[in-house]
Amino acid sequence: MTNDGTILSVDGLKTYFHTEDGVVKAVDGISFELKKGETLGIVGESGSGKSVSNLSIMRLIQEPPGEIVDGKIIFDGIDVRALSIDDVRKIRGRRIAMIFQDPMTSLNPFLKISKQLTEVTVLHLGHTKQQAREHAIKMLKLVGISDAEQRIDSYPHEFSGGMRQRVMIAMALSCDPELLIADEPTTALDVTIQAQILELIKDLKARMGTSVILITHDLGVVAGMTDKIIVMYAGKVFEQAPTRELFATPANPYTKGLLKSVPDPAHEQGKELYQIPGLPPDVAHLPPGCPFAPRCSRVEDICHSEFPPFVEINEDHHSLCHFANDVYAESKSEVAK
Amino acid sequence: MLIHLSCPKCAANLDFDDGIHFIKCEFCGATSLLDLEDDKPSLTLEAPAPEPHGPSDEVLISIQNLKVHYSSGGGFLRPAKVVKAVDGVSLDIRKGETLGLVGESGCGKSTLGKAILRLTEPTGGKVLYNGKDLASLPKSAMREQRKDLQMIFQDPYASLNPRMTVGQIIGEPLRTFGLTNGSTASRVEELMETVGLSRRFIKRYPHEFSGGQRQRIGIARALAVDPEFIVADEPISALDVSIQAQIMNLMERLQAEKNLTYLFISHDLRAVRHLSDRVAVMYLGRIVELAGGREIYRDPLMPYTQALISAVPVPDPEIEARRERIILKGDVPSPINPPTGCHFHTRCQFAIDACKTQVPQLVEIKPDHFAACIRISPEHPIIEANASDGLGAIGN
Repeated sequence: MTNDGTILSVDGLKTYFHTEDGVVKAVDGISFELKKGETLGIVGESGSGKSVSNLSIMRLIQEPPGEIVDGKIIFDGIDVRALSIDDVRKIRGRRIAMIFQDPMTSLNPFLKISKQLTEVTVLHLGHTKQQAREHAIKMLKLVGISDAEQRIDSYPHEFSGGMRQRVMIAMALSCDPELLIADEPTTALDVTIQAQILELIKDLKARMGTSVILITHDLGVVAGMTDKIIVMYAGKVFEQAPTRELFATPANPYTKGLLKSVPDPAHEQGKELYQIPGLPPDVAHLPPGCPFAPRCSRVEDICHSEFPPFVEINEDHHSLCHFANDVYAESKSEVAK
Repeated sequence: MLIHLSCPKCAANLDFDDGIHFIKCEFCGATSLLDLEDDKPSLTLEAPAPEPHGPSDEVLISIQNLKVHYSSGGGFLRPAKVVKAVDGVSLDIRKGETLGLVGESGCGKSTLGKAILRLTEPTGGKVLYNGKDLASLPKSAMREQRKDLQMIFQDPYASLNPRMTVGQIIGEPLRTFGLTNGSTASRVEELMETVGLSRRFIKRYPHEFSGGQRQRIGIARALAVDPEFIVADEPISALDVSIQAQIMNLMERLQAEKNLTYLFISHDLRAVRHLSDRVAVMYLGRIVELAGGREIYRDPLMPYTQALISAVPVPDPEIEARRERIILKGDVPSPINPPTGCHFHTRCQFAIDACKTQVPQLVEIKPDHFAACIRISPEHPIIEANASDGLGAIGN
């Protein structure tokens, strides 16, 4: 049982897709633990498997072509993989909620906001119509929508992008979930609106004690929001560490490259940005050895032939690299300078 | 296909994908060019980068009170709704510089970029280029001018014709302007090499490329006619993080080599700050602040710019933990019926009554640093101080 405050534990999760092109190992062995009230950031480029791993946790992978082939997903002591679809539905939306990147495609354009918001609580909390409506208005106010009493009867297209994302958050939080999975929640939004939404998630987290998994490609967003971070590449966890440690002393060449290639307004970087050469790999045709080897700056022969080990730097910090300890030592000496 | 070769300068082992043309050695920093001409690939050291020309004070394009108004609806006795997408913008773009243009969606930044090139017809004002007013040129003369003025688009998926090969796409502007001298293919190959695409790809179609490679094709097409000025509208927004750095570096290298002038339009303030010599901030059709890239970041004067910059997340957890954000209330108002006076007064924490009626002009508050706000002046540039002293509408 989970008496140590762990809300979610994922162990060796593998999700494969069977396609004409062969088996795509979209997620190939990801493990992590999330404690109550903690925020985990999952960072990666397109095709890294960051979204698929979270869809797997919610059992939202379409089978076929997808299949969770291995691994354990334990949510508050419940083995999610062993549940029937009906039992999963009782958890999904109620105890685990999800916010997606594009609020326009996740809201039904033909239904009023009120209908979409009350549906959830009628189903999960057994609200009457009246109760559900009052609750929905309360939630809209909570996420900062003014005139909630009037605006609840609007259609999604009557709201701006930022407002729609607020509606999504209100919907996700209306059953007071223990875990919120936010998949690129601010990518489609302007920076000032992004700041509003991130502040809102932080605030709600502090008030309700919700645990959060934040999936993003934006290193700036995870820096300010998370307690720990998983860096994914080609379906694998490349590095896993507490946020500050990951930024200060990365132990993986991919993480290091990614951190260096982002323009950082707080520090001078000179005219030319560091660039990782090449393209993200085709996950259906991965090279033998390390999937990052073709783009890695410190590649050696072994990287092309042997899959790298998941090296433990310390109890909380792991890196998938033949030279993880060397990279870590380098980062440490760079910090010392 | 993966290629293993050694660096021609320091002989270190390099591995790379054959889709890349420029290989930077991680050990000695030298850049080499991949040659796949015969079956045996080889690396040759790239000629040293030319001395960067750098921005000069010479004005290349002078935008004067440019307006783009769209009207919609309306009918008998019913006034049409007017969207003032660009509402009286005046801006000088200097030769050889990158002028960054930032703002939130709907602020009119893309419309401004298109209006300069007449891809959207301006409804008022002037765009002076080489002594000619582009805004009033006849269509045929404007077509001729496009040789010097090109555009790179945001979406590398939508802006390339899926039925044309890369060779045809890049070669099209050459044929249009009759610049071929019967050697389109060799010029196209040269352009592909310039942007870091292997010339073997010349017969491939856009769908066979990744987003970053497609953006390179878009850049090659813009470069084909040897332009002087390029409007780049969100050129990196649709790309992965690691690819964004590649495209930004490519744009910088090309600028140095070809003495290009860029108008770089983006909502990504981090990228804009990195690439731009000067930055203009736009809000609901008007320029509200204009200054050097570093300066505007360090010392934003106008309250909207302050909020915009404070909203940008910094990839550093230590800084993020200490930061106080200015969180703006609400959304950008609709450009159909923008607020009177200063467009920003509905969301501004420093707004006073005069802000609702007076339209602020862009004033040089500090040397080369312009802002449009009636609550600040060259004598009193700090709005927080002015607000606590009760200073208002000064200098007006």
